[in-house]
Amino acid sequence: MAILAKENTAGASSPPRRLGLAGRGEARAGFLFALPWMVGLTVFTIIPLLLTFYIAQTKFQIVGPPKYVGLANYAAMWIDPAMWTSARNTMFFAVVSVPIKLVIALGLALLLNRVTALSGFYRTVFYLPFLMPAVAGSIVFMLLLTPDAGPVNIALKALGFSPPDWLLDPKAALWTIILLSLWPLGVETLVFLGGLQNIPQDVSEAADLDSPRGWHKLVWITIPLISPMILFNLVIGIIYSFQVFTQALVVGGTTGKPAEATLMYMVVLYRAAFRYFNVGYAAAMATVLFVGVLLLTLLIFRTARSWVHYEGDSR
Amino acid sequence: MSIMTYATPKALSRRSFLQSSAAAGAALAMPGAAWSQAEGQLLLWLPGGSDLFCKIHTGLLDSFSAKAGLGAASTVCGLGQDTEFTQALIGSITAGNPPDISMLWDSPVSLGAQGAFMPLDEMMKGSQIPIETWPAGLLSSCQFKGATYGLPVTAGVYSMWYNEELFEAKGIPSDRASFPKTWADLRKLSKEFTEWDGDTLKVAGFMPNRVSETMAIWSALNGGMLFDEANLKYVLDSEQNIEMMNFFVDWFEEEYKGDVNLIDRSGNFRDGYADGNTGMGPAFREGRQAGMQSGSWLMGDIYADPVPVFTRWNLAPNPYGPSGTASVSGTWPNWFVIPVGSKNAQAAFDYLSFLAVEGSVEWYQQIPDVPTNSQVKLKAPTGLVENRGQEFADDLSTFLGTQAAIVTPMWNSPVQSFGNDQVARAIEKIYTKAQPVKEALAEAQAASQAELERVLAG
Amino acid sequence: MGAVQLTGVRKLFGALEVIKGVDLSIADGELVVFVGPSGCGKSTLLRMIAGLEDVDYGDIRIAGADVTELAPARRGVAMVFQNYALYPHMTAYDNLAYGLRRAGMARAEVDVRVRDTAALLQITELLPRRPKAMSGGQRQRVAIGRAIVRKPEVFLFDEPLSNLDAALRVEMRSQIARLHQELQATMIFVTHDQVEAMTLADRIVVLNAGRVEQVGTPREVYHNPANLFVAGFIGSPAMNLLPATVGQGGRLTLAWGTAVAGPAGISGMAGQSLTLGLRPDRLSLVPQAQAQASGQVTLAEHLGDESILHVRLPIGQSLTVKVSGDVAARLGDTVHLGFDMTHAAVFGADGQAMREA
Repeated sequence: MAILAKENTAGASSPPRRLGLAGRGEARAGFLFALPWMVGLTVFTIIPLLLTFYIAQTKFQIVGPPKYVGLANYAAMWIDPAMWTSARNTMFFAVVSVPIKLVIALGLALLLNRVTALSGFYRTVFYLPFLMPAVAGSIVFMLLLTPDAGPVNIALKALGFSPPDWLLDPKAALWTIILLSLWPLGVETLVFLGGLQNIPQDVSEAADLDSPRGWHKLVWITIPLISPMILFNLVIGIIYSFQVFTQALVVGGTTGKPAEATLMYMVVLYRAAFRYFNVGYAAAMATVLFVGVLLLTLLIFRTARSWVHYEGDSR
Repeated sequence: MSIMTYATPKALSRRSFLQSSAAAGAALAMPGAAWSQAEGQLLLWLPGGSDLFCKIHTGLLDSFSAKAGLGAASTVCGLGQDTEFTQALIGSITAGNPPDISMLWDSPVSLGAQGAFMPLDEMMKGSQIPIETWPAGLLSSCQFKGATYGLPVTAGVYSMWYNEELFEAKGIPSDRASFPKTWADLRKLSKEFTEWDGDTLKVAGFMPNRVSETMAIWSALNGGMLFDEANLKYVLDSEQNIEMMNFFVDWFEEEYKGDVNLIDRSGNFRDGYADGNTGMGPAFREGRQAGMQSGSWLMGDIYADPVPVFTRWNLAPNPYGPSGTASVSGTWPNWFVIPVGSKNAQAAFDYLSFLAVEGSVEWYQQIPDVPTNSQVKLKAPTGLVENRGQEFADDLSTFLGTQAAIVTPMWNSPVQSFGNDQVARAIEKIYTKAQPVKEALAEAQAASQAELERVLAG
Repeated sequence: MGAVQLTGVRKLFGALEVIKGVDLSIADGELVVFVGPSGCGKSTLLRMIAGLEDVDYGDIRIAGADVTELAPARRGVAMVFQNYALYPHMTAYDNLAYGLRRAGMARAEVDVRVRDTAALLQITELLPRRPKAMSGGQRQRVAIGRAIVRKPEVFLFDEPLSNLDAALRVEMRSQIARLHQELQATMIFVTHDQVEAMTLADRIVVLNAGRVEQVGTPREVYHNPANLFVAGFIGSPAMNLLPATVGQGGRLTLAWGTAVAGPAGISGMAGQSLTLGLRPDRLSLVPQAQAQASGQVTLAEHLGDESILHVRLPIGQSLTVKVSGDVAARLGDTVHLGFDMTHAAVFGADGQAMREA
């Protein structure tokens, strides 16, 4: 203690540190290194974001100048049945698909974590679908899910099930999109796997000694210890699920076939901008989505304090 | 069960183009240097189409450029699966680097009215293709408030296609003159063919229309319309349209068990192409459908994969509805526009003149999109001559000519896509019984009219 | 009740045999220390008893029951790890309570057990803290608490003190010794530190390359090492091992010609080569006249009350000598050494100890 105190006094009495010539040069170099990124952030993120807020208050038909209309686009959103249908569908999609996706990814990661032979091979296999264009993947799945002639239904029928009309039945179509969205879960799995491999082996063994039941360890030890990864996957998953687009567009077109069952918020936004050329309206939708997802994310972070454990955290 | 499946065709078909607009994963994919225009060299964009389609257009533009003493031209045949065409075109226009000429598969009115395309009226005056050489009903799809923003150089003409062999097998006369003239007769005839095996539709006769793009034709066949161009008003829930949809629903209930899912599970009975979503082949070409309405472009594709299981098909005029008095036809044109910002506007217009009068003859011979300019001297499609003989080919050409003359105005709303989507939504709600006819049409009407007024408000 | 019995236990990692057949009996309430150089298999053997490593051959019985195939938590053992292995997301209280709760113990009973254990280890004030907010010694006490609170048949300690600083290590060592006294439980303690082994153990198990070299009380392994390995490994500084030849009349002739009295029973082995083992404290500085060896000090380690001298004889042999701290021998000094043959060990050509006289 005494030594520590002495050091502190010495530190306080020494003259304040100034940036010498070399220090200033270093700061300038650092700034220059960061500059491309800052320019990119400004030009490609901040300016478009502010422009979107502005365009949302205009009537802008894509070509020609935007005209200020105040909150008219938001008012139009409020009474647009397509907006409400799509918001409902998207919400359902997010609420259902994200937890399912996380559970499956965690299950896969737990399996991969046990695999010692060929682990690199399996990791690659699970990551590969992520590299495939979503359009191509969706089309393949649609062909697989074709009623009667599709291999999936042929197989299900052969096993004695009466399979649904995956893409034709409005009651099944949204679930089909959820199913499609589950396919590439390599990233989530890898994130979880990283978390699992970060758990010290002896902590895991201590848990084995404390209880013989695997699920005890999973629930009380493993999951709390990878809670930062769960939070990450949850936030990213929710942000992406609210922007579900490609699968929905490939399956349902711009009208959300069948019977608007697959009409997603981003599809309505997209068709407003590029099919109806109503960019102001699309910008208003984008603004609402931005604010909504932002609030949701903040809410998750707020709750996260009570369930996410960080390694460096001493609370 | 013998439903064949086919892989999705690589090239976009017209219907799939409009229905799902490919999938616009990529944002504005700015065309690179190879695609940017240069002075004295023409650049043409096509939204998609088969390899043959691309070849024809590349050849026509190249030979024109050579004759006119222009530099080497370039043709871009579709922008690929991941790039949405309209999006890219608008991007290129707002970036000031558009193609000199672009073909469109959607009405140019909306974007023309916004100032994306050059008005062509001044150039047309005193040119080879003055305004009076175009059928007014068709040209209206390019016009807004007195200005012409594009040219419907050729058009697929909609008429009834039928399988003569199926007719004859049932002892039904298969000549064009005997084909039903009214919806009631068509419905009566259809029953002769329709055959269910439990819940599977094995063979169908004809089907009440479920396609939104052609609903304007069916409305006109019942003496109605969807969009009143003269008064700038949507009339989706008019008496005639309600009567039309009620007729369809009634027919559908009686002959098709009132369940669209049963039909769609049994095959693709909607049009003459394999369904990109389900991979199911066209029932008509599989010999499982007595007839359907289709555009004339199918003539160019019908001998390609999948090859029809029968050889003898024929065309007949569209029958008319209870409130209609005569047959009308409809089109899906190939529009051409000169985007604002073109560096070779005059040369581009000259090419369109050439294409409209001379080039379209060769085009029609290979892919029978019917030339629309009145000065065109048609030659029968070569594929048709090879497969069915000169006489049949000439007869069909004449027939398509008469059909082109009775085209009803369509594609003419400044909010065409919005209105079409509303019609599609209403059709789906009606056929799936989610909403009664009157209510569904009224909802579509209200939404479309509101959007129209919003856009027109300036 | 907490006796541990190992019979023919073997372990292979691939083709590498790391435990080469261990038979061992540990009595109930005994504190046994596994000691040996790194890689000797001591930790692996402990983990096999814990159930954290599979047993490839042989079997393990705890309190009479065959536990070879049982899950770790069903063996009635508790383990304290080198890196403490506390659950980082739980308070000390929860760390202690976790196993009890999972076993379905009532909340009130858990509380009593945790608080009693905390009082025993004097960690009550740590209970609301998370591991990150504790020092290494505090963490280790909590880790020991987590083991005790479950009242296991057998405690397993895997080098639990090696991450602590010297002072703390001594303190913890005595605390563990005290605990053993109070709990009267069977404990198996793995260390590479022979001071720990000597001070804690009822019996020491010396392991080398997957084999048990000797089992015995600290005194036995120190004074009667079973073989050259144990002789060289146990004791710090290490035993002096001197090549010798059996001469006439049971005397041993050392390499530099000096003859000393040998142990009984070698008189009939004249001419044979042996190794004589002498602890450094059996060597002393003597006047030159009585010297059995003379050499130069090459290293003098002054430890305060005693000094360790490293002496090089002219023939190259090095000897380690423990002398009183008062002795002022310096580097380079020539010293004269006398040998006290009490507890001298003699090893045959096969490296095994020969019975002492």
